[in-house]
Amino acid sequence: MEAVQNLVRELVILIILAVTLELLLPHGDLRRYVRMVLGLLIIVAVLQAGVSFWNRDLAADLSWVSLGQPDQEATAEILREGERLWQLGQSRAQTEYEQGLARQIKALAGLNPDVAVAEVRVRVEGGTATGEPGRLEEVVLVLEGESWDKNNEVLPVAAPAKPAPDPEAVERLCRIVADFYGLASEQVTVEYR
Amino acid sequence: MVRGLLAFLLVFQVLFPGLCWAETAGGVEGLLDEIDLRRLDDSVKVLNEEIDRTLPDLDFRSLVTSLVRGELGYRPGDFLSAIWRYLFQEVIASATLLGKLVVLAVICAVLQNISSAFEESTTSRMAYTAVYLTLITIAVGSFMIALNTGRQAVENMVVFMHAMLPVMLTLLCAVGGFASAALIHPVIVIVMNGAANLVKNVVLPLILFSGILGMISHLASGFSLSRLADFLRHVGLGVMGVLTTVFLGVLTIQGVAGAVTEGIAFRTAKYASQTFLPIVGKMFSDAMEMIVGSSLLVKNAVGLAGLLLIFLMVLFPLLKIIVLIFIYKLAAALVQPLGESRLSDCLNTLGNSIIAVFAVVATTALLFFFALALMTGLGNLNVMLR
Repeated sequence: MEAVQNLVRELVILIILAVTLELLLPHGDLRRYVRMVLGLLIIVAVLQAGVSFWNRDLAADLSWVSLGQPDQEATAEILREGERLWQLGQSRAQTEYEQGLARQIKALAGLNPDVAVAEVRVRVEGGTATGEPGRLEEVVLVLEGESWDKNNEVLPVAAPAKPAPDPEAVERLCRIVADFYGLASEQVTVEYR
Repeated sequence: MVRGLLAFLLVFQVLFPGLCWAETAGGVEGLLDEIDLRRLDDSVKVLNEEIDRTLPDLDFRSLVTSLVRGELGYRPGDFLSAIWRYLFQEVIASATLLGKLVVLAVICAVLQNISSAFEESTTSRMAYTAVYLTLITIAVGSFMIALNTGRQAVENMVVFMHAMLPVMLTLLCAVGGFASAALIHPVIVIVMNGAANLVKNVVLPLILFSGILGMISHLASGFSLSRLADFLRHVGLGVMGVLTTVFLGVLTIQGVAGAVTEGIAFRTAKYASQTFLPIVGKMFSDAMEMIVGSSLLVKNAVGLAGLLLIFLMVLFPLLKIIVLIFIYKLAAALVQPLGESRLSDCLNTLGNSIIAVFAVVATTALLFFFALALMTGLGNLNVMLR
């Protein structure tokens, strides 16, 4: 661009020179000759700029057209920050998922009239960043009442406030939940309160 | 023109569906609190100083929040009256320039017409040249003002885009566009800096040189350089055309490639989870979609706020340039009946050069506008492909 700038400067000077000479010179042939010489000078100035343009190192000339180096650190920072936000959203989705799953299992258990499930807790692990849900690792069914002691044949003297559900019914419910969600039987556990 | 309008409509068609989700303001502000908006606030502060009482002060966060609620923050009537007020102020401020130009042109015309009254016409011609050079000096001064206004507008937009990029790409990651963000960030930085530097260092100087040559070529009747001036202007505008094509082409290809890759990855995960976990999988993908949807809403609102700010950033400099074009064209029209065609042509040439500056600044703004719209649309594309 410096070459074009110099060319424009030279042309402006030549034009002003031409105007000044035209004012100073007397009428006659001399004025025509001077005009022709100045015309030639203008052509020379333009050609000179063109020739110098070909001889230049274009890469060096265009170095100021800085393309801006891709800042890898800035990209990494953006990705880190994005990952943090994504994880935040993922954990919100995971919480929603676990709560929904627990409600679903509780509803499923509610179909069995023999066992009243007070609460369901689930443990999910291994969700991926691509939106794949985590694996259901453990289901805890919280039942009201005290557990039956199968080895003790003697019934307690005082009846419990809430009678414990039938162990066979509880076992059947655990098996149904395990089968429904494709879990091993030991992944479904029972707690009493 | 029609293509530009269609592209503009397409951009808004892509943007607005994202604003249809219902989301509480609390959730949006929660997500906004997680993002660093300090650099954006600095850019908005610069804009507020430039707008200077024409419009009420802007605040990026409140603008985003009101956009999420489906409000613009400004009433169209107020906005239009603010534009009209600014335009009127600028015309009043430039009236002095118009007066100077017309008075000088009248003096030139008088000198030209009475030259025959002198024994030697050289004296009147010398006076004419002196007045003409004075007029050129004034014209170059105001032309430089137009050029610097354009250059400043481009610089402000670049600074704003640099502040906007991390926020937009972070939010793109928040809707799962990691590949798009990783692909597009280096490309957009290179293309944006390259475009801004090319505009500032090549296109605008070429238009300046073209304007100077156009003006000076009317000075000496025998040495017309108007063809060279036209050539330089066409080279400048040609560079701008190539730049626009490359800019939009590179961004579109990079953006779509990233979105498609990600869309396929997500689609596979979603298909796998829904197929192999019939009830549970659906529940999880629904929860994910809800989260992604709210992030997308914030991202679209931030993008739309960015588009609005880019528009405001370029609107007022463009209005200033439009006023200068108006002044020069009006001066040329007023001078022509005086019978001084050289002066009239000179003013007209200058008006055309300022129109070229206007076109360059408006095109650059449109490029940044499209870049931002593309980043905003990428999130929608990502989610649509899932």
